[in-house]
Amino acid sequence: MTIEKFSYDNKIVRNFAIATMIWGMVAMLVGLLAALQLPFPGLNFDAHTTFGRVRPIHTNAIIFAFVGNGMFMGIYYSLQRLLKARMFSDALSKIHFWGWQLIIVGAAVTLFFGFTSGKEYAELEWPIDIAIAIVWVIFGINMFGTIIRRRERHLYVAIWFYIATVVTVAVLHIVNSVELPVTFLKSYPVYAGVQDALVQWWYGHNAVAFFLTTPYLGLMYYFLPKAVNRPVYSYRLSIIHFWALIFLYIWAGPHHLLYTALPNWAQSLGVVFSIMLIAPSWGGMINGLLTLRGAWDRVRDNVELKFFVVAVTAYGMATFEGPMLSLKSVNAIAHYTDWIVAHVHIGGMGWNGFLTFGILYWLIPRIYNTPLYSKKLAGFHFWIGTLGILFYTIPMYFAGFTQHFMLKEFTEDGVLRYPNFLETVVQIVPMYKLRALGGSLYLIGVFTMVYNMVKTARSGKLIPNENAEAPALEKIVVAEHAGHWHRWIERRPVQMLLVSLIVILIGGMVELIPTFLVKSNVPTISSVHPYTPLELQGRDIYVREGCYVCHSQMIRPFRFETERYGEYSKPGEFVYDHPFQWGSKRTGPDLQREGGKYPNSWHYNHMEDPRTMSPGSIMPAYPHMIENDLDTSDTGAKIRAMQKLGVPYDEHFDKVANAQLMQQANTISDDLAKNGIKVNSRKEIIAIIAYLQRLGTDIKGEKLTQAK
Amino acid sequence: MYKEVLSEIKGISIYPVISFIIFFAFFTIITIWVIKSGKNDFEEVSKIPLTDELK
Repeated sequence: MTIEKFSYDNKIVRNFAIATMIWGMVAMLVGLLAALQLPFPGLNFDAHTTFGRVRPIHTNAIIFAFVGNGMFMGIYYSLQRLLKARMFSDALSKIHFWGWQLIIVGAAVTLFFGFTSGKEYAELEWPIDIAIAIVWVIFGINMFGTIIRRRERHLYVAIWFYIATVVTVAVLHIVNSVELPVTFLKSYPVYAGVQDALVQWWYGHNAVAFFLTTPYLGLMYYFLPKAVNRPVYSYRLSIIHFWALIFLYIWAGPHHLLYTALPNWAQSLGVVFSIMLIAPSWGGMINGLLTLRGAWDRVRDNVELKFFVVAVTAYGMATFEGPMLSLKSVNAIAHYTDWIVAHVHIGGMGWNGFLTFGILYWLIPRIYNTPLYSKKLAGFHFWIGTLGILFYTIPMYFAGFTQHFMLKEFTEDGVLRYPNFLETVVQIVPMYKLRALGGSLYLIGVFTMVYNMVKTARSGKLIPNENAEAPALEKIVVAEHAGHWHRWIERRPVQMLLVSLIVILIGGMVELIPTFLVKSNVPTISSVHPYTPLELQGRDIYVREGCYVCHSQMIRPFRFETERYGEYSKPGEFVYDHPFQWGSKRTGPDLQREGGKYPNSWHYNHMEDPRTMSPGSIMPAYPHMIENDLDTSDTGAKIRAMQKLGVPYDEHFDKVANAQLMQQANTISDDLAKNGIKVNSRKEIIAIIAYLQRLGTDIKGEKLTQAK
Repeated sequence: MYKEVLSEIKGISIYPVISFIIFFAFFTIITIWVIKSGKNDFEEVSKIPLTDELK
């Protein structure tokens, strides 16, 4: 047996660690701004910093910049050591690192300027989508190259989680981002309405699963045993945990669409698999916590263990809450309210955040070969961070319940007690302030950590290449023992990849194929027509401004919703919606039946300053829509794109689209003039009014014809 | 007019049933195998994270 000498690449780990900390601070600062904008709408400074744009920047930055870099940091560290091999290619590592940072910068800039596809957590436009796919594949090649050159025969359970992550994120990203480019930074998804919603939440749910959960579980299975210096409690449990988790997660997406226009069978499928998910999730949590059996005394003076314990506990809480939230009766309360915001922050701040911090505290002193600068500051970070999570989530739970029960309350006479949505918002504004306080505490902790890390790094010196040695892997000549078929997979990464891929594809296909067949099966409602060119342009402004961040377009079949908003939503109403705009959170009221509710002049004034029409409103003002000219140069291209996607505009309609657009715009500006508002018909405000007045009116026409 | 979308696809209810059967079979096989194989089978593997440093 020959002993080979080699070295681990610590520099790439350090780079990802720095990126994690910098983007973490940026992402959380942006989050704090978003949190403060709700109680203090004056903080929506200008067109670029309205809540509708800030919130997607926050979510994307947390997921892809903070957690993404944190994941890569942990994977690059643990993968090399678990395989006893240096990363396959230093060049690929570098391309991965810089490529990913460029994508983040590109994402922040485009979102800031309103370039968005309007699909939550997949908002980035098509050139960035392509860049993500390329960089992700480079990461995959680098990982598999390392696995193939390994000096350890068995693939430890953490690596299975990494493999599943690489494979599944690639599939999810590609399927959900199939879009038709219209201009350089504008595209339409090929799916529409119900289909788009199902694909989007299949993606959205599994982004949580395979970007925020599986890689971090892999990290847990490596760093937790390292920190306590004993093997994981039950390796057998980890095998069941892995397979059950990746198998179940992929089916559960429809639980994000309960009580919507999504077909019932898909909703039920999502519910059943979500409930079952509790088993593997808790298996993993228990496995993590029991790894500490007999070593709990170490938690007292070991700061990274403290972070790990809270992280794993938060994982347990969030994965108990998740299945509960997918019960239809519970979901009826939580969906669209701040309960969901609380739920995701238990996961984001507790599980991802604290696990990342724990890893940083463990790893930075090691690669700099020096003790941590200050244990006291780390302890302070732990306590203020934990307090921050509590101050963030408890007010949000409270706000969610309060608002739901207010919205639902009827008087003895059978009318809504709070018919104005705004009354319920005003009630929970104090909770929004408390939440911002919680976020600030958490952020103070992060700043403390970064200071501590900088000090630690300064007092030591980075070991860019850590020397190691291990025997070379010898070819196995003897055949495997029968009955060890799982070992057959464990030792063979390519098989592992294929099996994982098959497992997630089965789930994905069962869920998606029926809805791909949907086109011929959606009962088209004869009165639902494609948008006029002006409405289409207005709709794109609606998407650009991120209105879907706070307003849903999906009325559930509940009495308190139909009383408040009107007829519940039908699947056939969305057949021309590329992308769908159902939304997932109501910070403001639903807009599905907004059309015709108020006069044009109301919308004009409301957009200019919401508080003139609705005192106490927390919506940002959009005066720039009144100042900006509508860009009609791309109307023809947009019509042609829609035609390609199957929207039945007449042939050569793109040639006359702008003429028709101006005609409709003039009608609206004339109407506004009658009400004393002088505005040029070429302004953006005209288009957004046209779109808002169209919303949900089609089926009213249907009823009219039937009555006649 | 406003029927649920997919009600017209023939035999659509078979999808949830198939998915449940596939999962249940898979889960059962994995569980049985894990239980059948002894704890000792994995002792070496589970120590991999702890043996990666030479110090």
